[in-house]
Amino acid sequence: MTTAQRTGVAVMALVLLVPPVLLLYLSFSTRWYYPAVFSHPFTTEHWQWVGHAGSPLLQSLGLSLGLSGAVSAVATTAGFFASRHLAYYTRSAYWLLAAYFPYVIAPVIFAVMLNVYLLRLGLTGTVAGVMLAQLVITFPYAVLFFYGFWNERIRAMEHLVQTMGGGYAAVFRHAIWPSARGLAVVCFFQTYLISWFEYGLTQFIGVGRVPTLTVMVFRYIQEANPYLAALAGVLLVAPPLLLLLINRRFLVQRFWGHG
Amino acid sequence: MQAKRWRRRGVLAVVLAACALPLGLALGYAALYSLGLVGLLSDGFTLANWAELLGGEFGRSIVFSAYVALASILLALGVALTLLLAARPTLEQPAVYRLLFLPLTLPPIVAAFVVYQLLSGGGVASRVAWHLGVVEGPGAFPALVQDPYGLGIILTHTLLVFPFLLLVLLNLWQNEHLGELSRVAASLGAGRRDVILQVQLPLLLRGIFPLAALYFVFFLGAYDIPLVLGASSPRMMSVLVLEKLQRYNLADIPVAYAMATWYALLCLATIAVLYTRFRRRYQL
Repeated sequence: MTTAQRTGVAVMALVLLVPPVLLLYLSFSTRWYYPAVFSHPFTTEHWQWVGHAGSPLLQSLGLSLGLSGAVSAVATTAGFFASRHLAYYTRSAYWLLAAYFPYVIAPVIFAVMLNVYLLRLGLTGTVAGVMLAQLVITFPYAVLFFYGFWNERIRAMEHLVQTMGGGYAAVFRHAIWPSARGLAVVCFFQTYLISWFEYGLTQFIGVGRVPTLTVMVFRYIQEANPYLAALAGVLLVAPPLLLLLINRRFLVQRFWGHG
Repeated sequence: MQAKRWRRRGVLAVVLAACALPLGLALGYAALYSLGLVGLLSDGFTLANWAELLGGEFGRSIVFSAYVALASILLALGVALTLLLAARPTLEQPAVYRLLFLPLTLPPIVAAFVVYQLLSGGGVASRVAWHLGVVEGPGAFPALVQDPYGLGIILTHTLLVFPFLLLVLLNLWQNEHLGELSRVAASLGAGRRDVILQVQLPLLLRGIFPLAALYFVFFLGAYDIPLVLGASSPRMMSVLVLEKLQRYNLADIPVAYAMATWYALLCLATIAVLYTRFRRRYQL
């Protein structure tokens, strides 16, 4: 490898490592005034503050974990069974196209257009409303994710169990689940991350009353508090980073945008 | 048998309702509101709100959003292709390969915050430049964020996306057997330049095109990153729509809905074209 190639890869590695390192660095910093780079005080007080019971960030962390967990559980389960029906009982490709539509429009614009119905249902500004709005995006994603799973081999295995007298529960237990388990876990984490990363839709439907971690990051940015914004950022990055260490398949998606 | 068929139809109807109904309802309401047929300010059918899109702000915003989206995807693709063609064996080393997954752990709002802390007048780059004697203060540092050219937005999009594109390209390299194909081309007398231009690039670009097109659509409607790193003018589509909606001027609301309607239609048309064109090739 030439020096230029080595330099290129080194620069790339630096660019990729800087964001998490800077977040961690700022979360331990205080009075980081211009032009100081390293010569400012460091502190653990922000982290101690987060650790206190009742701190807003701790509550946000709990809320985000619960919200994303619930959204991904519902989306994965519903998407799994819905995709089976789409794959087995429809021939027109336009059914699948219908699942792509909600997924490509910017979530925040979708929220703008959908908000009137949530307002009438009394769901705007509630956790249930944000959940429902996030499901509008994550459910089609799960449908698309599982659609390719339902192939001839799975169908043949279902028929095999049926010919041996198995009902739907037995078909699910012996023919479907053993093959689908791994995919279901990946889909769960991917829909979890879509919900976990979501800001615009959550802020608009939640009108600030559903303070997830992404909402808190923006709140601290607006308050010009880079230390707490960085700390909230670290809390946001930590779970996906953990997933990356466990199994990188949880993070890589077959078709999607980061935005 | 009949009951089973009806049950299947019922489930299909629910699936369709869950996927298409929210979109239909949302788009329908936005379109009707923008045409003056529903809403508090409704005064009967009018095309005035749509006509307002023809001039000024909306047009500028669409052009700016398209420019940012195109520049972001081209830059990300350029960086990914350059790295792939220049240093593929190194990228395939486990430690380096694992690093490429790091940006996938960054939510866009956090990425925007990090880039702001790096490239703003008071950011890390400006501080380092001060210590090197290159600038005299935050004001002297060039505007790389919240700038009229969307540089900060484009750089953040690139940072988030190029590693993922690189992962896909590395995968394509294996699946398309580009190593073997390149060796065959070289043994037939093709030079290094011909191998890249005639063999590798066409196959890689053909494989990555649908993903790049999807990213273009996603970037077109980006919100979190332009909200933090965008200038007050011109604004990206999503930011402009939200601003119009949340202003105190009630007359702006139907215009915001008109913008949302046309943006959504543009996205739907794009994805429909992409889907019908590439469905067979990629077994979608």
